Amino acid sequence: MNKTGFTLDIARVPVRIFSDREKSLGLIEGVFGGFISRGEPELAIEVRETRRDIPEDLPEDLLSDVKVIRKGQNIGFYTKAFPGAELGFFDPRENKAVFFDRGGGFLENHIRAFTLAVFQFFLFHREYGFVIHASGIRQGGRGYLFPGPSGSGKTTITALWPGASVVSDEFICIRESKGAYFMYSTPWKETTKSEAVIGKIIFPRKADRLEIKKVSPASAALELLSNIIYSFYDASIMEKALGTVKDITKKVPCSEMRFALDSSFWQEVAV
Amino acid sequence: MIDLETRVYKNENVPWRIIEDEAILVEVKKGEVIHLNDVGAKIWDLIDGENTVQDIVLGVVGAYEVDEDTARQDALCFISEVLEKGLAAVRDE
Repeated sequence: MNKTGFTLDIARVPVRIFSDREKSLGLIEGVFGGFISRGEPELAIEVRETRRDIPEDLPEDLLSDVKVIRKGQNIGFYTKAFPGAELGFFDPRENKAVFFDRGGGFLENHIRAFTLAVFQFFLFHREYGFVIHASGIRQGGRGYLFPGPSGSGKTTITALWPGASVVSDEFICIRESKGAYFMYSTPWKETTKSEAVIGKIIFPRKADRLEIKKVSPASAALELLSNIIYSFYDASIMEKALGTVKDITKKVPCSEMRFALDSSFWQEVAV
Repeated sequence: MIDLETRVYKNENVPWRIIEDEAILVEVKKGEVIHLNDVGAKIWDLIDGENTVQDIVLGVVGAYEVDEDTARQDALCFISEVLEKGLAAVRDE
């Protein structure tokens, strides 16, 4: 049967999605439509039908129920709640992945969780950067990155910054190009492509008054590592993440910002 | 038990980097990142399986304005802790 597909541009990495299941492709195209592009693929994801029973109730939080297991040279992705339910696998030698589509049609959160995991491990293996929990704002040609876990205030910042062009408020891809670090929107939460050179990294803390102070590169590295998705998978992955993080903290100024729930911070940040 | 002649080496499964004068160590299985200040980073850097504890003490004395007794106390305390955490191990002679 013919396999057709389309190519996504995720952080300037062309990712080919293909299948002989036209219905699934149509649905996936609907989910990631804003990121469809052209280009010679560097990563390929095949959607393959399976008769195995993948449960429907993968949680809304894309990451909380995905378990990553090394399978020889491949990396397998499973659901924690249903250990027998393999979402698919990634072969880092070939830069190919297979997503198992249920007979009854794919589930939107499954394909989001799977493609996020595959893309992250692709980046780790190619030492291309990583996806991090962060919000990002672009203003005046500069990007401001706010890494942090849920509840840290990173989404509040994007809402409070007047006239902000939001790159993302949840999953940001960071990659280096020609000596500078860029942040990119990603298709797991956003619907359009956006990017900016990272001019500042600011770690947000909710407080009752505004205070911004520089943090040491090692402190910044610690916080960045803690927010990189799947960085604690194994020592070899962490080695690669550490190298990139060290370089970022050398090139980009890092601060922590205590802020109250008003917009007074942005004039201090955007100096 | 360690003494000044003990040689200690880093656990190769512990990713780490010196970043400026400080250091970051990662306990991957625990999902924890350890941040070392400049003295801790210096001691960690000198743990290489070749230096004795006394060599490390002298390295700290050479790098910082600290007397040998204080450096010895700091080094023994730090090395005991990294051994206890499995971040490093004693080299068999």
